[in-house]
Amino acid sequence: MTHLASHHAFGLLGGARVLVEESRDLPLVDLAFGFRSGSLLDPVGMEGLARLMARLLRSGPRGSSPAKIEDELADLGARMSIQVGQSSLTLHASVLSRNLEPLIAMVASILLEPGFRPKDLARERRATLARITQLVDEDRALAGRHLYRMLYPDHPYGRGMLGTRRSVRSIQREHLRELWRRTFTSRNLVVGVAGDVSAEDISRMLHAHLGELPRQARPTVKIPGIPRVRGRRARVVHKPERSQSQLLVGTLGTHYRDPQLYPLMLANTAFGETFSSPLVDRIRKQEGFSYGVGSRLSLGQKRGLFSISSFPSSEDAIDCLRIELELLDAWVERGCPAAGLRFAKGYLVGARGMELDTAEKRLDQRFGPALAGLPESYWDDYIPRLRAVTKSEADAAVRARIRPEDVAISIVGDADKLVPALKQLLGTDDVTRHAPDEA
Amino acid sequence: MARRDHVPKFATGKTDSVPFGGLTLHRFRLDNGLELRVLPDSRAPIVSYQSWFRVGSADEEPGRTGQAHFFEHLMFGATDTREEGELDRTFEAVGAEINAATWTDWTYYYETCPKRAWTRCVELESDRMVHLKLERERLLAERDVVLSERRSRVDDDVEGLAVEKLYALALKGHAYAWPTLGWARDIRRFDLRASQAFYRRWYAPNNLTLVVAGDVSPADVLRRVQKAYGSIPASKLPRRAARRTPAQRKQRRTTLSFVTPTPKFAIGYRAPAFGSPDWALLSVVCDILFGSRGARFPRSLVHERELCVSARAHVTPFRDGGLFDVWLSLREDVEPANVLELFDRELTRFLDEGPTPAELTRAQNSLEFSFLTSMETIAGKAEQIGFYESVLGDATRVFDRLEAYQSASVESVRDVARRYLDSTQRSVVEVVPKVGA
Repeated sequence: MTHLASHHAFGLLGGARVLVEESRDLPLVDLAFGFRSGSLLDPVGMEGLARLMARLLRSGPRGSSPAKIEDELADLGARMSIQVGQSSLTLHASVLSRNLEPLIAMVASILLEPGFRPKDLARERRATLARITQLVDEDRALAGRHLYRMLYPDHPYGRGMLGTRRSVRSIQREHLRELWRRTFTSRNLVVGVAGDVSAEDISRMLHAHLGELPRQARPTVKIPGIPRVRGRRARVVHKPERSQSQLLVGTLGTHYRDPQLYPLMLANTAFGETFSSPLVDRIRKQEGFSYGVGSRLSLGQKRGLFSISSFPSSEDAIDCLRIELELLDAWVERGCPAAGLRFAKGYLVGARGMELDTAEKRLDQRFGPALAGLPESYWDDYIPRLRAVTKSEADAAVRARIRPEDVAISIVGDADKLVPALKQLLGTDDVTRHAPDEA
Repeated sequence: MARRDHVPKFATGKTDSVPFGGLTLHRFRLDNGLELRVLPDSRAPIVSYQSWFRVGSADEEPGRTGQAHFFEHLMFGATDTREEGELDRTFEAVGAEINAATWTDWTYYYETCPKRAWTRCVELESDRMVHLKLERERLLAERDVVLSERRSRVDDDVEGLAVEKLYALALKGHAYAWPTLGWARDIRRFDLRASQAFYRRWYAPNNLTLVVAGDVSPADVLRRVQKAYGSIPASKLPRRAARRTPAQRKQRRTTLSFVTPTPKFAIGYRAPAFGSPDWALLSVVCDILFGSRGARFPRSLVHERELCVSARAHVTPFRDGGLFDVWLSLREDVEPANVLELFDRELTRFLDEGPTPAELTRAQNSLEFSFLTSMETIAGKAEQIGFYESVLGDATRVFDRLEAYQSASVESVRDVARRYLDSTQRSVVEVVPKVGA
């Protein structure tokens, strides 16, 4: 017999929302404390502020120390991480259920009484500068950074979360405190709990330990509209020593409230999201250009990215790009074959059903939307809405949203060879070369 | 000698069942030697179907390295009755996850699919095990894909390349010394004949453990598996005794020049076989020294002294014994010799004093936590069963491992650290940054 664990949702502490997915399968509990604002609150010139604040939280509350907080976590058999997104900051923790309440007490002290000690700030600033140095080794991240800058010039979406050497050096303790004051309010908080605990018990624990979370209004983040950047253009990060290139092709995609969202998700899956898709079939199976290749839609409050990623050898990079652009053109012009769309529906509907076997996965289906400021039921009608999409709707959505004439291309490889070849292939002079350590 | 280290107690053609983490594991062996393990779990309408073949890069020969991994790629091709891509299409059409992996001692293929589709796994997996079509064009295209994978994971990746060099240095004389991906020169030489021979030899029922976990009934699984696989003949498998790596008498060192912003170290100490009781104790040592941000080396090298960006380690779970494998990525303007000196000093202190009781308890909590999370999903449980069956011959030994962590003492942990983390048993690859163009 199939049984799913029970789920609960309730309000808490002056506006916080708590979502619980109870499961007694294993003596574990996963917790997520999500705040609905992230790096988009970083002021211009202070990029990296939200990330640095998150790292300082991890350094422990007043009266503690980084070493002490790590020992306490280890004593509880717990794992903890803090992730910053553009529109969210989430503290994730997992713990053996016998140690749940002490962990919640520890998380509460981290959130409510951050130390922000000058010594820790100086250390985390140095760690971030070291991380910026290490980015030079990460070709895919470098290619992604440049792609975002091309597609979102002068827009918050184009700014990195890590920051630059200059912006990170400019961040001071008062900036951290101000951001903390704005972010950590109960009205900005969504708590997700999955695992071996009842709704009653977790409610009691949260009330007992997080009752003092300030209750002022959520910070407002006004995301400017995204201007269309016309024409094809490219950037090459010069790494002549690489035997293969990291290749990203991107253009604007869609957002959470777009009426074209479901048709576009379906069309993207049919185009390049599965191993059986035309994109993978051609680039990997027929041409043998790249071990990894795929297309992806990233969703945001405003239009996120549609991208194709691959990593062909240096010699094949231009041929691989040419074919990817041809496939993209054909997809927009001619749409998806009806059989491909049927296949994509089967894939997406079936894959949804697979998200059932752990409490954490089930929780994510409601926690994600809640954190993004969407109704918790946002994905509830996912399957009927996908099934209802017609071929003409999918083709129209691709034509309306994907503009092959406006793609940006980012490649890490040998600029001496790639820049002239790209100019010729794209028919434009808008191809620039960049040093790997260009922050 | 049989390739298995441990033979379950039941006889050929018979069955038994054993408790497995609150569930029941049903064990069958077909007359052709196929081992079937079924773990019914009806909490979600999902089935994980995993085919574990006891062949990996350790079964290759010099000059033909990478063959096992390459064959894993070929197994996604056409069969006598099914077109190229049909396997992927069949499973992706119902939202299933399908993939495979190869390492030193095993290769496994898996599908995690909706319950309604699981019987297709039996049909398609038994088909490709026998009727794979091996053709030259397909082989050449896949060879390029494997070279692309190698470039991505090794040639252009500083850690990938340094670790490859470390294993070649530290385990010289054993098949674990070459990379599972294979040397590039060997990959370029893959040919049809060798692939056919490899297929005939290793893809046989007496070299397979089939694991089916999820919303299924054991009797139904057995009936279908018997029908689909029962007539496949066993093959004559090469005898493989546990192989010893030639003794190491002093530290080995080499350098790697690479375009990278800062120096790095890949360090390996000879580690025991996965089946040895010492392996579990050395994992406790690894957790105490590297297992979290508060563990000794990350605390000292990364957070307090700010000499490294990262400091991590793991013990490789190889049947014949691998490495206690350490990775240190240094910060700018740090003198590598100073880091290694400090590393040695900290390690010597640990070897002298052993862990504190608090450190031991933390490591035990951490390993218990990791064990539980590995058993969270249906696919995770199936993977544990397949891995333990393939390497140790008995899935239930996964629980012995947990017990071994819990019964470790300060003295036993210190003693095992002293035996294995000995500088004469160490190999070091120092990555020296080269300036890019």
